[in-house]
Amino acid sequence: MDVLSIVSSVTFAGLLSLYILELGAAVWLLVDYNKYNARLAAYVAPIWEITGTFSVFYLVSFEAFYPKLLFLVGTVYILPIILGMVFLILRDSFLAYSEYIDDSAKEFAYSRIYGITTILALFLLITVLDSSISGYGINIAILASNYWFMLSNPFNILMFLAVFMLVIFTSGIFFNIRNIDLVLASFIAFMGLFLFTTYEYLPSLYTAIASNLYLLVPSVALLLIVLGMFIKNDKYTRFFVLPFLFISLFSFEYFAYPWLFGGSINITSYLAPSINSPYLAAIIIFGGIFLAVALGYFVYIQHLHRENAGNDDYD
Amino acid sequence: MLDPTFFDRFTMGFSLAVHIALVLVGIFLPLIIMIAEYLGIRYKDKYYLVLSRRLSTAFVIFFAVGTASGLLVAVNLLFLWPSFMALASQVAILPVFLEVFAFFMESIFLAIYIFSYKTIGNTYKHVAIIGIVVLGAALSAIFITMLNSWMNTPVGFNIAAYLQTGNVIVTNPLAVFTSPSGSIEIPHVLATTYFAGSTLFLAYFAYMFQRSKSKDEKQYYKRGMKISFAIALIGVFFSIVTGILSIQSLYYLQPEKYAAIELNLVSQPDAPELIGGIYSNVTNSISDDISIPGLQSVLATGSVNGTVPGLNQYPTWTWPPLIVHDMFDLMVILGFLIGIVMFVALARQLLRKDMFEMPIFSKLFMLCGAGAIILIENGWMVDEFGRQPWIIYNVMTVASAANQSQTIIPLAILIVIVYALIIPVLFFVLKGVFSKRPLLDELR
Repeated sequence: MDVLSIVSSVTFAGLLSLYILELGAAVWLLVDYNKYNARLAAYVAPIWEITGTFSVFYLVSFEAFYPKLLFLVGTVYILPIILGMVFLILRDSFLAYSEYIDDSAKEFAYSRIYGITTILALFLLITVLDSSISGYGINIAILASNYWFMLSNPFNILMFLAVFMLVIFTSGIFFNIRNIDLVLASFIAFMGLFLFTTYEYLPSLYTAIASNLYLLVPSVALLLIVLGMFIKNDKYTRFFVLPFLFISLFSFEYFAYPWLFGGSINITSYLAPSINSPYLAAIIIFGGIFLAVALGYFVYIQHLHRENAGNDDYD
Repeated sequence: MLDPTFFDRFTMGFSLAVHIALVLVGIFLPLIIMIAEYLGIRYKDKYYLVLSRRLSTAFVIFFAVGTASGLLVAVNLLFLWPSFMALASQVAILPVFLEVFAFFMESIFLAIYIFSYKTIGNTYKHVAIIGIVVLGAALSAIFITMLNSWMNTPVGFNIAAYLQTGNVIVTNPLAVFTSPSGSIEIPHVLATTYFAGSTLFLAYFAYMFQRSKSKDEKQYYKRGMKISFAIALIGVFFSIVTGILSIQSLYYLQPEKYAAIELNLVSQPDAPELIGGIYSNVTNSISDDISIPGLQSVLATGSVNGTVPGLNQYPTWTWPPLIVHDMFDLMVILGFLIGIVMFVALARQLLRKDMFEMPIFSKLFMLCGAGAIILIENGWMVDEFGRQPWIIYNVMTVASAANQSQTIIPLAILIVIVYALIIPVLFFVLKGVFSKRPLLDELR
């Protein structure tokens, strides 16, 4: 993998990990608002704006790293992505509204809108991801899209179900939903769906995974740690969930790399002009250092805030 | 069949118009929060401290909608104008990339600011944290304006080769930071944004001041007026200075835009300044205008004999829509009127009359708030309409950059509906939030 592709993949894996956990929060809120609201708000409230900013970062880095791919992507995915953005606007807005409204009936209604729009936005974004890997629903030769097929093809539906199971599994552990049977069943369902779908509808990806199984060792190791800690009800379990998701998603991207659209396009031939690379790298390094320091300080402030919880809180 | 380019233009224009209004608030609010908290600590003034606290709640809610709206604008750029982004991403992406880090700075430190109210409290350290948000917001505006400046005066690649072959040969990736129009456009955008944001809030505080019955409430809103007025005053001064420089720079950098704004049909010396006027394309003449002889040449070149560009020097297909002349006139007249109000108000204040207490000024400030919104939206429209038919001046037309998919038509309608939903709800929620937190309770 080249450097720009690594940065792009790392960003995407990080962003998708955050969104998967947020999707989990949205699902549990819809399942039982009264039971889970306080627990989930403690996670969602401090980070939703950072997740939103990460989305912009990924979009811009994609534009910077793969400028020659933009015409193609901009033409064939206009409907699902703009529709997804519309749902993200509603998600952000109603999440903020629910956080501050201080009226339980309205807060409940706004949380419902937040939950539903989050699920719809993620469904559309996963549809684009599925299509960009498999090529289902688009014709690269004439730059045309069949949106109905893109949304409804079995690969997309089954992959979304697989992701949904992954969401139940990871968010169940992250938010400490003590329903061990459900959490474990969701993981088994995820694995079954994922393997069947790739084997049946995208054999090239299945083969890439099957022939490089050793690359899954970090994911499997983290998975075992997470499961062991969850079963023991260890209070630090959640700290391993995000790394597990991140490593697994990054591995997934690595297996698919460098092919897009079912193998029709090699992404490396669409990379940014090399004259831009040193400047992009410099911005990433210095920006990354700044971000790490700022986020570290944020986590520290969050820690202090929680220690002071119970007093007269600002929010 | 409907023309997708029209819907691309409409969707982009509508999203940007809404986003600009949100950005005004997003850029001005952290500044007033910072100043209010600083003054509150410095003078141990509870009104300033409560002002900063209440405004920070409003800021977070605005920020949520603004972030999502900004993401939609970024996505619109890619999906409505894929050819444009394909070129811009190779030549002019660095400031956009930096803008994201400035945006990160803003969002992370806003979260830190909010969550440190309890732990750090009202201290200068807390003021410094919101100061970083102010810096992040300003840097975001600067970096994104660099892209717009580059669209007005593209540099950094071999334009002749691109026009001939379509191949992009980047010659200087850093040139986008110093594109010719940027040195004027960036200060002008900053000045007008702070000016319009502060005038908008000045109008709000003036309205609330007049409505308030209690002495405490009046003190609170008066402090809001004081800070907003001070920033508006500085903003209007720099807006006028940079505005004059901006129109002068068009003379050299975008002469068609200049000629359309001034409604110059022919290039000539001793050119009059036209106010108003109706252009007839049948007779190729202008009627019903107010003409001030020689003034335009003097303003643009410093000499009555100076020759100004005219539309006759360019093929008609490259003429911007001539409505930019009327829009420009509206902008100048509004700016002039608001400027007069601000300086008269300042004069009253300097004459030791407390003009903040005078109902006439409150009413004038309310009118100025409405005028400021029209002014900034109109200003951006002059900039964008004035560059037509180009999306990148003399390089790429809007029509050739547009996504020609019919899919955009329902999406354009949907985007309008979504904004029509979330913006009223935003104000409804703000009203709900503050009705549950009565001002007098917080002041006590």
